[in-house]
Amino acid sequence: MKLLARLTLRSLIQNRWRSLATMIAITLSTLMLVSVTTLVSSTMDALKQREIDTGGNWHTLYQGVAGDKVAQIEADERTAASAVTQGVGYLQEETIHHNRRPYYYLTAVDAKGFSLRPYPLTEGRYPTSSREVLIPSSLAEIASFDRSVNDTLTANAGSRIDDASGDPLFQNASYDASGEHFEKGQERTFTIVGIYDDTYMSNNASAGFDLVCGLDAFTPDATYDIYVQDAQVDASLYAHAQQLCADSGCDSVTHNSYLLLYEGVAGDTGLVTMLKLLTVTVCTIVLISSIIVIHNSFAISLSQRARYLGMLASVGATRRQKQLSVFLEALFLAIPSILLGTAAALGATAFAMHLINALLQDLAIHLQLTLSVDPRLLAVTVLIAFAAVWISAWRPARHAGTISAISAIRQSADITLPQRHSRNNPLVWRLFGYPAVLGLKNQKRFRSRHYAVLCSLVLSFALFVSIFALSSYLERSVQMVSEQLPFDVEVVYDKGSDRQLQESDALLQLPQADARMRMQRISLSLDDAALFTDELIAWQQQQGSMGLGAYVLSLDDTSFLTLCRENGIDPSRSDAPIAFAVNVGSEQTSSAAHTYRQIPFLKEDTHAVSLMNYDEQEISLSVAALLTTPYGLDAYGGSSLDSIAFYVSEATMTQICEQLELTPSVELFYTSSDTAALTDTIEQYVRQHPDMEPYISIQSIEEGISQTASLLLLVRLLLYAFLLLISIVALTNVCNTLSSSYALRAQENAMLFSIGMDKRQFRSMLTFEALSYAFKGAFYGLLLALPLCYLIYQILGMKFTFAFYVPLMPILIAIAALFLLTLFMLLYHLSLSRKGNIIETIRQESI
Amino acid sequence: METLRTEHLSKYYGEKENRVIALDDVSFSVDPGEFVAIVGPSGSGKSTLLHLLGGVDVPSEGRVIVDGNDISHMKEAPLAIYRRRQIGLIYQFYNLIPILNVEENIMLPLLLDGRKPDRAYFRELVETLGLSDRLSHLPNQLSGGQQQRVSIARSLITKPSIILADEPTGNLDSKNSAEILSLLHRMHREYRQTIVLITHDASIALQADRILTLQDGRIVQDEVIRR
Repeated sequence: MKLLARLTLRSLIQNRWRSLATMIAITLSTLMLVSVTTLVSSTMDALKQREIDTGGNWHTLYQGVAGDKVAQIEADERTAASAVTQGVGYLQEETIHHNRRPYYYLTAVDAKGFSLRPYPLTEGRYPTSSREVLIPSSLAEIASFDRSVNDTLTANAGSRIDDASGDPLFQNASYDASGEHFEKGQERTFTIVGIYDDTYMSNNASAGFDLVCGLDAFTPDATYDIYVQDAQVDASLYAHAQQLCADSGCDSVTHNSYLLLYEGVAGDTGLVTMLKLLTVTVCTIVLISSIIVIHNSFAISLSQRARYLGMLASVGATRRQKQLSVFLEALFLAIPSILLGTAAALGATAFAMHLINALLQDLAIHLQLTLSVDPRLLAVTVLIAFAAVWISAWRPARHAGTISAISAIRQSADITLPQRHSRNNPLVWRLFGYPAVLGLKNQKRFRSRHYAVLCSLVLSFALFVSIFALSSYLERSVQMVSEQLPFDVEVVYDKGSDRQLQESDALLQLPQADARMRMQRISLSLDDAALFTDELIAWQQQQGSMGLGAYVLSLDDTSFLTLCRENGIDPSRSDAPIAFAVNVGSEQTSSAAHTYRQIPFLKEDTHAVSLMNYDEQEISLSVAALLTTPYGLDAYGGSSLDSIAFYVSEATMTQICEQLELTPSVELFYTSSDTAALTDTIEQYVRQHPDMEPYISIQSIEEGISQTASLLLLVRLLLYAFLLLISIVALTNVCNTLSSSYALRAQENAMLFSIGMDKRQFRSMLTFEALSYAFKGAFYGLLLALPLCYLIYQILGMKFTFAFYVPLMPILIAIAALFLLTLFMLLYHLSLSRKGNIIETIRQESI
Repeated sequence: METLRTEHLSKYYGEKENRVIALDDVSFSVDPGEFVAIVGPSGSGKSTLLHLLGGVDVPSEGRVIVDGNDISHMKEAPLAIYRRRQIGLIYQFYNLIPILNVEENIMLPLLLDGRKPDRAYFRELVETLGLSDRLSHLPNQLSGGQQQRVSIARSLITKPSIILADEPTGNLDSKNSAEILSLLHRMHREYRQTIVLITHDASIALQADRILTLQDGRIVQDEVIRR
């Protein structure tokens, strides 16, 4: 054993380039496997942490637990920690700080519960009694709420009552000023002891800001909600929770399904399934390429050592000992390579996460990746890497065992070309001459190696094209989004007041905008089918729909007057409110090709329409003109066949809203050559008008596209890194195989020269061999790449709004790269042949 | 006129004090149809001389003239053509191309020359060499003697001016050796082939028409055995 180990080690050192090639393949494969599994487990951990940060660190929620049963749940053997909460109710101050959220909703939490519930402190401390409160940052930032920690807050407790039903309303119902009222109760005073960050929890549609106070004591006749963190997180917690709920008499039990999902207990969502699928796919690709490369490397090593193994057999080495020499080679190469690959993977993954975190922070995505190494997963991955090396060595080891002394001495055992493959290709002969025929024969002489090289080339080619295709589809999606929207920046002002239109006048005058438009929008319906065109009726019958939605969109005065002028309409001449109808809708004619056709809604002779709201209140509009395209920066009109858009003046809209008792939000749209400057100006204006601040939202399409582009860049970087590593593995295989193949043929090549092959013929032979690999690699690579691209287009589940296409540039680049590689190998072989001396080469192999 | 002549042929390796003289001022000629054996101890320069005659190696000094052509300073391309057409090389270890069958190995010089084979001559050659039923076999499916026959057939297929054989029986048993020598004699007799053969075996050397004895890179004896 020691002797074998020494001989094996010596052989490895002697053939250092081949050993290095094998080690590179093993190292890179291990690096990829460990990186992928570590990245996925870290991502799952980060998702889990985010769930804890935003939703709390609990698994089961028992709702409606009686005060005297609280202790039972807290004392349960599986309760590791618990948070007892109680919804106290609504409060309202005299001063309203937010028109859409005029209340506070108070929840009491027991002292130990703050570790489970998601109230991340930004200032102060947690409340310890019912007279102390924690306020959310979204409230603290409102300028008119000019209080902070240690200040007092006085408000009336009470209930929200729905005017229509008389039922109480809770946080799941948005505020409806005209449909509810507040029944005041006792006045209460609290001390503000802390502020918590509610950025990722706040539901902006809820009627009240969430305040938190301490829970003083439990009373038997009150009910509480208990959040429990389970000590034993597995599938049995569901049944246990049901049982405990039944025993304690609670109203209901629910679970923190996302946290349980990330802890591996709950069923998979699409995201987790996709992550797992992606991990398995990537690891499979890595394993297959690695096994091909490493197996090939061991097979080459065996060829080069066949003679010495035969000599070993001639002095008494058993079959087992010969096999052992191959396994020893595998072990000597695998140990340092896998260790190096693992260490490199952890380092590379940590670095990658650092970059990803910086990007996520820029995108304001609440997700922080930290390197999380699951020892069991790491051990399994390393074992898989070892197993891959072992599998790769197994067949060559078996073959090594069969090498007899005499076959090695005769040097004939390595030739595997069966008789049927020695036929000449007449077409190649006729077109390229006999040296090309020799080149083809040389290619096929080591069949398994030939296929190993071809597999590496085909796999790299296909991966390259499909990864670049994926990148192209994502980029095209982003591009189409920007092409579809006619504006760069959108501002929504939703104060819900009568004066909101006037308050936004200044925002219409911004100099950084190239074009601007202000709109208000209400939704009504148009049910008079007599006005519809035949095409629309046919479409509605096909869809089984009736009636037509109608958006009434007001345009600012400048835009409306321009629209009138362009259509030759003088609004002052009309007694009735006039409207312009966007009289086209789009119908998809081919889902595969993503083509559309336009259908007119109304007949050409339509001059008036009556629109109705849900309460069947009617308004009439005089149709001044039927437009064939949406106007200006409007993104609503003409987009679908479900709704028709009507443009009216702001004065007309005011009348309509007064009649229908509506207060639609104000939307401002801009285009600009410098959107950053524009958004800065808008933000500055808003800061100078703090009463507007809670009701304004600014969306920059360019910034959104830029953020999406940044995410895309991240995805691309990860994909390209993967592609690069796989390509290096494949390249190592190709170079290793072809150079070894040449080395094994050195004597033959020398003999060919000696019987009269000239250099031109030799070059021709090698060139044909190399070109044959390039052509086959490109051909089979394309055959694999095209369906892969289509599969990616379909499986991703993204609804691309463009027809399937295959990007040509990556294909051309991949073909060029293939030919460059083969050219490089050809030049390398030629340089080796120039260095060789015919006589010495013939002599050397004959000894 | 002689078919082969060498003039002050020398071959050395290295420089100054490291110089090794493999051949030292060798001059001789061979007439057409002559069977010449080259003998000498190991390291006497026999193989070096053979390789220089075959155009496989380049002399340090002197000339090699074959059929009136000085091959010692030929460029690579015409030298390759010379090797292909004018010389037939037989090695001790056969040196067949493993991926070509017997027929292709024999035809290889013609195929490289882009010439169509004379099928009648080919049939005659393989029948003479006893290879008719082995034409589709690969070298690893042949015995040593059979492989050497293939090597001989390859050397003869182009009807070269000279056959150069480097210990053609060195790797064969006595029975096969006798057969190979018998074949060489037959080629010599029937085709009036000029043969230059290197051998250690005195009994083989004595079967030649003439024996050149080399020692330390020089011809020390040039003995005519039979005319």
